[in-house]
Amino acid sequence: MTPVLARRFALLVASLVVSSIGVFLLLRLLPGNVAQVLAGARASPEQVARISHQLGTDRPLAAQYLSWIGGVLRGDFGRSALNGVSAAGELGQKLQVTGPLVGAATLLAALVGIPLGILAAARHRTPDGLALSVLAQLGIAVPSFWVGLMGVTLFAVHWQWLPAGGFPREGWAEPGAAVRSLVLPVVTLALFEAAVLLRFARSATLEVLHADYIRTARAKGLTRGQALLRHGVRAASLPVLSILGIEFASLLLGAVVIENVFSLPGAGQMLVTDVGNRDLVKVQGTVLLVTAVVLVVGFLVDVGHHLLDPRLREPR
Amino acid sequence: MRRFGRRRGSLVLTAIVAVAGLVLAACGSSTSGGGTASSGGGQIDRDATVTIGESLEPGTLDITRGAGVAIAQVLQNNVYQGLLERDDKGTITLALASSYRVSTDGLTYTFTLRDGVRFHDGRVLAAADVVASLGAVIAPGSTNPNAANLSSVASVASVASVASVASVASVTSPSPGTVVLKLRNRDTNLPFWLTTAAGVVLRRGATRLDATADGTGPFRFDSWKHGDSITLVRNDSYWGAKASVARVVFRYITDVNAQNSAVRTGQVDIGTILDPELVNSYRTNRDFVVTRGATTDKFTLGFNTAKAPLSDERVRHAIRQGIDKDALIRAYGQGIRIGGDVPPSDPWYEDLTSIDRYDPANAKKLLVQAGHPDGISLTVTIPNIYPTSIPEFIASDLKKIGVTLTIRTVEFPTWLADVFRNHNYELSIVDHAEPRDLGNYANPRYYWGYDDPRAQALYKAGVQASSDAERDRGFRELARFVSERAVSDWLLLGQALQVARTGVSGYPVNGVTSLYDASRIVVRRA
Repeated sequence: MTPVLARRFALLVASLVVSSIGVFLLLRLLPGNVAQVLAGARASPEQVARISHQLGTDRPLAAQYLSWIGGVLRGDFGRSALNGVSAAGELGQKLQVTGPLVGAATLLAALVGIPLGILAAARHRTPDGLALSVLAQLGIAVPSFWVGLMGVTLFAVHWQWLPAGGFPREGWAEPGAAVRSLVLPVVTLALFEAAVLLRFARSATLEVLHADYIRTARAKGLTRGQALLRHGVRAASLPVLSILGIEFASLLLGAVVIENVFSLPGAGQMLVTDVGNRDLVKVQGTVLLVTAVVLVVGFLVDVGHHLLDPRLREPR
Repeated sequence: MRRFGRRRGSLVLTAIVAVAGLVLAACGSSTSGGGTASSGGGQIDRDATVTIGESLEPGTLDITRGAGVAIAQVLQNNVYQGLLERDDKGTITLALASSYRVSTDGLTYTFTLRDGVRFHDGRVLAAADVVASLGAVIAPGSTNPNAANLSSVASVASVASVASVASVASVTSPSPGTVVLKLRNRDTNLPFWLTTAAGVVLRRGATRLDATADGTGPFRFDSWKHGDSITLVRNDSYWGAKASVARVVFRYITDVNAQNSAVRTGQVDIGTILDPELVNSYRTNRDFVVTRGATTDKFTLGFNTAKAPLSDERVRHAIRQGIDKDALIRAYGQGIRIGGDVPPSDPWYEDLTSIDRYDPANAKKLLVQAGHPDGISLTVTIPNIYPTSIPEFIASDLKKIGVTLTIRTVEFPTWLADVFRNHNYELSIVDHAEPRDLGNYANPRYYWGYDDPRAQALYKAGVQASSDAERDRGFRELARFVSERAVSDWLLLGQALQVARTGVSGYPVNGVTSLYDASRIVVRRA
């Protein structure tokens, strides 16, 4: 491992430690606690105290953090105080719904949004380019729960082509039903994401259009479109790709509005429920797990860049 | 406390959806799958799966540890049973007990167990199971959230009052098949409490109560798909009348519009739609049946009576008289008016709606008398699980009498911490869904901080009465007493709104949030 990579790895570990502490402490700022939620409004304060003691939530924060992180190092990211389910196991279950939902929506959004964004940039002075920009603004402005609701009203309630919501009880063991139940959510989510990507692709392309190498290419006799396709798109794709990555990661836990509208048992809904129950150990396990995956993927991408791009290997 | 599913849809949104529906309907093609009303016609389908759409999923299945009503809704009467049970009309009948008698002093209850009852794992029910289950509830150090129903052990030491309800001092089994409950003092409500979550009988040594359930009821627990549904299957070796559906799925759909779509498209057979506007759209549809059942959901405007300015009774009366409940119920779209903490379904109900009736002019006068000629500013804390239209309506009403109301919307756990535990609030709105909770007004430690020996004496008299008539008189007086002193305001009594597919019958209609007996549901083939 080169020193650069070693440094990058140390950074990864440090990020994980810091985020684990950050997540842990932030959650402890929430008012209310799981013992009180369990005990409800009929139990005495003494009972609540006993439940806190049983759960170990009355210990000092440092002790709670250490015992949690000790479990994480052994591969146990934490368990629900309410029903004993492991954070990792449940997240794995939920990602079977949320993963395909977000993955397919991101793909669809990229396929629609990026070409349209480049087109909008290439034709930004013509009415159709302008219309595309306006459409993108509209796509961002219209709340996706409304779009989802209209989708359900039309395609599920009125025409009965697709299920109104939910996910088959047997999950992917019923592939047909599973796919059908994801069509409306994917399209709804993709519409919004496509609008976001369209705007990014448009501005990235516009920036590239003014670059020296495009001017040079045009001077060599290429048309604007040819120059853009041959040289511009690759340069513009870098910022768009990183946006795509960030959007994908944030959607894994952030697709909660869509999951709610279509009553999908996904990761976002699980997180909201767990926070609502103050099931903090499970919440912090879930969040840390997703953070770790995102950070490790980022690290691997960096390693890949490093291996592929000789410029990065030059000691600075 | 009842926790609603989150209500995301705004009124505007509902209106848009309703309009869209109308437009589509006008376009011509029928939205129904050709099913006509067939309530009585078809044959009973004993292999049927009935799917019940609910809004609130339990966090745990452990009925001995979790307080939420959602646990009992699924498990009680269906999977778990007690010595006695109660139906949705409130009638108490024998369940695991085949008979019982009460000693003349009311202090000893002797139950004879039913023969031939088996748990779902095949083991025969024994008196030891009952002793272990009830014994754990009343044991010192019990963490059962419903322990107060059966035992004053936890609370007597700390409350030093009669606020806590009962009373069970010991549970023993002098001979096989017999269980004896000895009470510390008379408790006229004991049979009722035995039909609540505190009274369920679990198999001795049962483990993983938080994720599974093994009981004696007409359904066996099958599976729990977190964030989605809980499935029960018929217990074919049930001791009583066997259920007529093969499977019951409680499906949890938090979004009110999603619930509505699920009902419309037949994804659920019976739906709980929390938006009265949406429910109204089913009125004329012959494919569905709408029921409005009674509940014990008392939407209570709680006053912190221990702190100024709400320690002043005149201020509390002013607020009560400043809120037009009839208009609130019209705006909210459902509910009935009550003037106190007792719903009409309790034997000791009395119409108290004439106390503090809507009179804004008098309310202003009362505020002046209380020393607030320029009005006052107050904050109401409300969990975000309730529709915001309620506090907004109240704020606009109270503005007219000079009370400026700030609405503080919080998560339910925050409400529990700030209002319920720390009493750090002025006004609070929650749905007190628990039945027979009048004792809260005799508990000085309860969050409204009302400490009045007269209320405590009345409660004690009711609990320890030697006849039902005497009990009813005591509780009736207490309800009137606290209403006349405006200890709280009772905004409305909620109704249980359900929309069921035609062809499904036998489902409970009253009080369905805490008890949903599915054993009598019948599904007919179309």
